[in-house]
Amino acid sequence: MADKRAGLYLHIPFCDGKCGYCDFYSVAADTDVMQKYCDALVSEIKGAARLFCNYTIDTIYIGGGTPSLLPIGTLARILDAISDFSLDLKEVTVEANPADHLDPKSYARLGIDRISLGVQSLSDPVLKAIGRRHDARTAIAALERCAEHLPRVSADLIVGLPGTTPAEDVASVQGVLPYVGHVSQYLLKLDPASPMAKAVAAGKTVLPDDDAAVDAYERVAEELRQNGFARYEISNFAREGEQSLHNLKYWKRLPYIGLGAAAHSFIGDTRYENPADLTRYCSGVSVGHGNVRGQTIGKEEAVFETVMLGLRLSEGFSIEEVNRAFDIDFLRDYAEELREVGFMLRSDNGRLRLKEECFLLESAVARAFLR
Amino acid sequence: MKTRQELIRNFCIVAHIDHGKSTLADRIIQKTGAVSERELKEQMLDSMEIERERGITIKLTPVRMFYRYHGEEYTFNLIDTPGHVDFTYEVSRSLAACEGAILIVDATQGIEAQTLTNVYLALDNDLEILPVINKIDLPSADPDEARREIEEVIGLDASEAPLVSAKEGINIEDVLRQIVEKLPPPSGSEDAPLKALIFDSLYDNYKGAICNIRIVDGCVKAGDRIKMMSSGKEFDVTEVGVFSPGMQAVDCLRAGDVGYLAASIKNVKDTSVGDTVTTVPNGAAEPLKGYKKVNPMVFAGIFPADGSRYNDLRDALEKLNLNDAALLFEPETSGALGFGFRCGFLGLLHMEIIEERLEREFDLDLVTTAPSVSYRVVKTNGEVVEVDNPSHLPNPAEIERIEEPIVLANIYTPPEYVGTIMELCQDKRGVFLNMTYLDTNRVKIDYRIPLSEIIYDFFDSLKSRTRGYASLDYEMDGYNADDLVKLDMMLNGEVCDALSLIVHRDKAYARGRTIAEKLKEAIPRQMFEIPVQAAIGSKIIARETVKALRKDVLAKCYGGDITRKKKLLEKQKEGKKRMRQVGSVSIPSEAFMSILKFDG
Repeated sequence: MADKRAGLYLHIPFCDGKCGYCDFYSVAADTDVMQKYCDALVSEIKGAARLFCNYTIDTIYIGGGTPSLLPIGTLARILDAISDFSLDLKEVTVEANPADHLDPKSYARLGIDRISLGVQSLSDPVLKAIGRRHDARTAIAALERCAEHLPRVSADLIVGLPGTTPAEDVASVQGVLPYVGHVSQYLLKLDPASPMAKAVAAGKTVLPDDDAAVDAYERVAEELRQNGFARYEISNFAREGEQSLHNLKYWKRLPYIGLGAAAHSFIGDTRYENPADLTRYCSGVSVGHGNVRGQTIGKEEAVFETVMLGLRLSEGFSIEEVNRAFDIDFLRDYAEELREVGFMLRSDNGRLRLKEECFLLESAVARAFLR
Repeated sequence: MKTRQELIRNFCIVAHIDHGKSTLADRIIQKTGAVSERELKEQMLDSMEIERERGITIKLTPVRMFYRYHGEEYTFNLIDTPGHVDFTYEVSRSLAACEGAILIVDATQGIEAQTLTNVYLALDNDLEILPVINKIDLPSADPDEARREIEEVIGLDASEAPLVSAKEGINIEDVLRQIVEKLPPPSGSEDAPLKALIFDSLYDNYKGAICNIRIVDGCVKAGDRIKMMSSGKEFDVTEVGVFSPGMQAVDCLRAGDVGYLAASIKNVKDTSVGDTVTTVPNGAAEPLKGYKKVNPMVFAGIFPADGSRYNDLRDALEKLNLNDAALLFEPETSGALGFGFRCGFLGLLHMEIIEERLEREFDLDLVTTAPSVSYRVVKTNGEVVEVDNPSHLPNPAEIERIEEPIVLANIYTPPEYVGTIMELCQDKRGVFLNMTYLDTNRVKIDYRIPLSEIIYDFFDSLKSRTRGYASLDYEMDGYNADDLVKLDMMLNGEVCDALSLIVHRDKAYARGRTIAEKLKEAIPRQMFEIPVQAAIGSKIIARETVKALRKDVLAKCYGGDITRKKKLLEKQKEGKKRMRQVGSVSIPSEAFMSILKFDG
């Protein structure tokens, strides 16, 4: 067993239609293209396993796009290739769209133990307006099926969609709670190039104003809390033991290997990014050289990242650890910044964190620490 | 046998805007062959881009031409002049260099506001006026009516006025003949000590400041040592020349000539327009009478949007100042806008043109305060101070009264708009003086109106209420005390000096409310609630609130988002750096500009 641990992220960039608000990279799901892509992905996995033989993978996250569009056989092929890595798996997550014919039983057989469903809302008119392929009934059915066969289920929800009321947002959350142990709840953010953003700009779609959206968000967060879902990150809520181990690596600045088009990695003190374009990706597959771009993070930037990411967590970050890891005296070196935004922070047991009521002002605080 | 001077004619062209000055000037140049047909660009004397775009001339560019008449070769020196009410001063300078003025009257419009202003200016300067009726090619032309107006309104004999079309080139020859026959030649003495009047200047990167001069007495050539009589400073002439219309060096300039002089003058401030140039030694004893200096009427603070470009702004203003003697400026500091300049302009058009030139020619991004006038404040201790910056108004407790500049406004309009015009003037605190019917279709209304009301969108309102038919012309007419107060805008309890205004008390509430509303929209939400208040002294008269920010978050931040989020935060931070600080409140420059634009 290698002594360094890393998460493994695999990107499946295919979608059946593009949702109104989306800003992720994805392409249409064509069978041939998908197969070709998977061939390249398998090849990259094998190469990465050789390159990172000194890492043990303990979490896997298959994201997209819509990974649930992959045929089971293809998914099996990919997961099979991963066994080239040194493995000590604690969590294997796949993202899925409730509209697809999900086969959670087969997923379980492949070693997947957690599924994250893009529910977004349980209001049918809203789902239609934002371009989702499912309705509330389908979503609930999917959640039910998943809960039956997989030990861990999570649902994604969005607050602030056009035409929603706070009551509807709460209802959506209440609807998914019986089936999940984890909820990712986001405030709507529109990609400027997305169809919805353009509709808003043209006056065709009306969004709830910022204050209304924030109020709705707080109500939902409260609903979750009352049902035993503790907020552990700005947008992520979980019952005891249900936190996403893989995602926690991002916020705790732990290593992760990203494979597939547009995938990002963080290894050592360098961040890598695979090309997003499928052709480019397929023609130059390999982490660390060829088409992969890397950026080494210097000390000051690394401190900033630690603060920026750490403040997203409810537990914040440890000042002691930062001092040790970077050989600094954080409270002294950043005294001025702390004076500026201190009123939005709490400090206890040597950990610095955002005040609960300031979670949605996270960027304002992070910016203060940017040098 | 005519003397050299007898064969010279120095003249300018005066007219209302768009009556065809530049076109006629082009034709005269063309007819005398100063520039070949191929080289002639339409309206070539308007060498500045902005002027071309607006179709008006601002800059003076003299031209020397030759005209053969009755066996003699005459030298014509033509000086082009602007036609907007703001530039009466510039016109007066060129008038002083001339003996005659061609007065153009548009046969379809007749006498208009600016026509009269310029004619009176020319008459004041003892110029011989040569009326010319233009645009006779147009179907609505009425030359007889135009002639009648000239005779009745101005009192000039127009019986022999040439009827021309500058555009079509009809009858230009008549004009040239009459220039010789009716305009007097200059009458200085070539042997007397040099007296040359500087009526304009240009800045050349290689030659230094170049003075446009009219030699009244004596002569000057390269190598001469000259003295500026106002400052006593001496220079050695490097070059003298004429405008043909481009600069062309000559051996020497003599009494009666119009041309230019270069003397390696590095500092533009050493060439004062209106000054007299003479030789050293044996120079003239007395300088020429100065120009009628018109003072700036409109003031505004101009600040660089990027504080680090202060020096660039200063250099640009200095360069503009050389070619624009009417522009005044001095350093100013604003709590909100940083380091900049308080500038004085002849009027709004002047201000707009300067701003546009600063932005275009010198590539500067500017923040400008709303234009204001200069107030005369009589303090309780008897002291009288001039205040052209509202934030410099003394403490109200020390003020006995505030006096504001008043203008005598002459408005020319068709009769059907009289009612709406009077309504406008009343609204602008105007006092009715007089109304005369110039003819069945033209009324002249005279009002005394505070200058501050004129510069606050009066002209645009006038035009829109009268569908453009009304024209306006005004001159200073002393100061009046009135119930004027200082309106302050406060952000989070702190006064923002750049937004202070002096207004009439009756208008303060409406104005304060409007600005407070605009500020509320323009100021981005910040970490705390921001009260926006309009105040007179300590009394709050309007209030808006900018709510505290509640959302400034990236909802999703997973592995692939981290690099992008960092870049976004960097960009946002950069953006904030460019904001202006008023105490603890950050305001983007664009916000200032939207508020400070006085669109009523």
